[in-house]
Amino acid sequence: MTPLTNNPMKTLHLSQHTPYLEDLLCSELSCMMTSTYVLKPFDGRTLDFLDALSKSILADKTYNRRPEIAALGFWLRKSQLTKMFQEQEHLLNDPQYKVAPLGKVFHICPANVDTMFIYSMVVALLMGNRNVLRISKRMDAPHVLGLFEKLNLLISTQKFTLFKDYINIVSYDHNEDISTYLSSASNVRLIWGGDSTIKTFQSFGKAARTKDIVFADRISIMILNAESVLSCEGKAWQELLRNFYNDAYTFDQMGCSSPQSIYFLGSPKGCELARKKISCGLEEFLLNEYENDISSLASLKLNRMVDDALNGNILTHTGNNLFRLLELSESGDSSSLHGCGGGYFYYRDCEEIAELEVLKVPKVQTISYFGLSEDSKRHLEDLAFGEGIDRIVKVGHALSFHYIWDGYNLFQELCRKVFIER
Amino acid sequence: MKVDDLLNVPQYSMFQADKDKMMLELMKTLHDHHLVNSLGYKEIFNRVFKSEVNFNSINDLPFLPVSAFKNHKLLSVEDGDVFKVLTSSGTTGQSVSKIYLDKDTARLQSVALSKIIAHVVGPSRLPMLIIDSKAVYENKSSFSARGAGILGIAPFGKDHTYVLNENFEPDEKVLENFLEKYNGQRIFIFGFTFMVWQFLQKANFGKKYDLSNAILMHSGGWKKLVEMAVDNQTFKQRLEDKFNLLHIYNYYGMVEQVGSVFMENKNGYLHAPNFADVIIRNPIDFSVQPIGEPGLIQVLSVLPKSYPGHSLLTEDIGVLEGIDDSREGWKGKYFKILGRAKKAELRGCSDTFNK
Repeated sequence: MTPLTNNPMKTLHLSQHTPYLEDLLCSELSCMMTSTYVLKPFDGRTLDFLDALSKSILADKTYNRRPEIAALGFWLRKSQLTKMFQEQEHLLNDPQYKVAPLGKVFHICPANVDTMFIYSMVVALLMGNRNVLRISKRMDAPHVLGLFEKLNLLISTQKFTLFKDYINIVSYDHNEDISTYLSSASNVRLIWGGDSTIKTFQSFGKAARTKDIVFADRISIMILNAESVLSCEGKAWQELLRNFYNDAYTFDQMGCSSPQSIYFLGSPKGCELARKKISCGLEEFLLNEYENDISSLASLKLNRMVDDALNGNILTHTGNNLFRLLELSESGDSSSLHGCGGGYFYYRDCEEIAELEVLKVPKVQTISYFGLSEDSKRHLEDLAFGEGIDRIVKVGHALSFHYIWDGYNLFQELCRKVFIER
Repeated sequence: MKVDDLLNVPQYSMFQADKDKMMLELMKTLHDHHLVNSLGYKEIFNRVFKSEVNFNSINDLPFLPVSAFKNHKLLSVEDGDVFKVLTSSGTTGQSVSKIYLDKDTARLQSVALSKIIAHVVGPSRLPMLIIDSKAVYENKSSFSARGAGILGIAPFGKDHTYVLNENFEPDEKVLENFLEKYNGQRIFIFGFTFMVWQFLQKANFGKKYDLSNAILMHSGGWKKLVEMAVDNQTFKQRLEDKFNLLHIYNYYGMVEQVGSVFMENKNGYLHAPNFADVIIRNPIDFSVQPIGEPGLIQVLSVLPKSYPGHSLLTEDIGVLEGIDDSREGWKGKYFKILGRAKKAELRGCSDTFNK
């Protein structure tokens, strides 16, 4: 065991089952031992704490090249939080019930560079819950570790010492005993990391009333109106390229909300020209912006193209190894195909939104669009009335966190409603 | 020109321009053959490569990624004609490549290997010292790679003597007896690069042995040695210092492409034989890189007829060092390996609980 400190980020060295496991965990994780909940929903102290975190993030120049962290910093500003508070009016001021925390929330965080779990932790904290975050031992992204350091620093100050009992971050190797204990001792498990992680955790025991909020594997789609792409010029064009890049390349196209397939909407000729224009634009843009091991990308993509060719998913392709466009075959299913990432996009041309019926399945999460008419947007909304499509956003906002995510309003999900008869 | 003719011309004797012409004809024939006989190859060609039929140079041929043989069964003969199946090395849990050889392709492979080995070892079979243990054939997990590798080379030597005992420890007595028996004669040493380093270079022998009459051939990759910060130059220098071992030949090849054996020349560069070649490709658009520009290594061989492995893109990164002008007079292209494309996959959301 590492020595006790006041810091929320801990590394537990528990390789084997120990009969004292629960005692050890309880003594290490202050979230687990205290029972008085002092923070009210949107408590002033929480807002101060998060605002301080926001300032510390925004002041950090090392995040200049990480737009997703900067976005987190902006999202945590007091003005933003206050706006969210106002939007929860219906929830917090309903005369029929009073809102209370659910209690202890066990966050299972992904091992990649994704930072979405910070947002869900903040929502849980804003509702007054205590949070234990499990971070994979493999998680070594410096920008995420940097965030933990900032949290440590804040909590070590006199003013925010209270949050010691509200945020614990632990890192341990795959260990069923620890995971089972934390599962059964928590009121909520918030599971990022997709289908296999969800399955693994659901196989561990939990208390009967422990609630699971799961973020499963999803597929996201981009729709580009060909005419709008063709008429886009100058600053707006640069902005479109930047937005495309942010959505698709920030997490190497491996975030659940990053587009896997692109639909070009328009006449066959228009679609073809739009594809050429966007390819040219992006290839140049990526050459300067996208830092990745290009040899690995090249191998990954060639391998995947061969797989897709032999599985009959694709007909042909264009582009280069920074931006590759693969034409879907008749049988290639855009609602389930997930490419190898790093700029590997399936595409299909369509003349009307109605041709996107295939997307009405639970697997589809985000549809990001560019240049759609009001009419087309309405059609899109109609498509979402069914089992699939949880988010419809503009290109550039695919990864932007909103507390309404994956079909949940997380503020609602992370509280209890206490019925009080009047 | 037939494949056998290319094999029989003295190795490293062909100027690149002549070789290009001959290879192009043979490669076109192979391409057509695989198009007709391997549905998989045809699908890949039609969907991944531009369906051009006129190849003006070997640069225009399609190339399959080496991993294609891991995920798909690709062959251009009837199942009944498969004579032997080669498998690549792979750690537990990883899928392995399966390469299907018929009798003819297997024969060509063996002839090709003999031509290259004869070029450095000489035409007669020499007494052969193997830096490994006989136990390598018993261990199923390591057999496919090392065992098969040794068995492939063994026919080019005689009196095969394994320096390691059953427990994979160097047996000094065996070494001593072998060297006494062939005192002053030329001998042939073979081993995998890491094994040679670990069990010959680093072995604690009681006496000093002179291997100045020996020719060492080794292969199997540098990954482990790179981790130990040992490069080719260090490797050679230390063996020279310790055993006066002067004739050391590394070679680069892969189970996925029979015939591609790129032997190290005197200057430490890897050299293409007559019947195989190398093209360095720009990782951004797969265009051909000029001399001096690093890229992904494509390997070509005129041998693979029973399966479509005549043109493959590896995941290794290399750089072409020259053509027809190597210092010892070998003709054709020579290159060097710089490393390997690192990432096997990009990590996504669904990535929490893999151990």
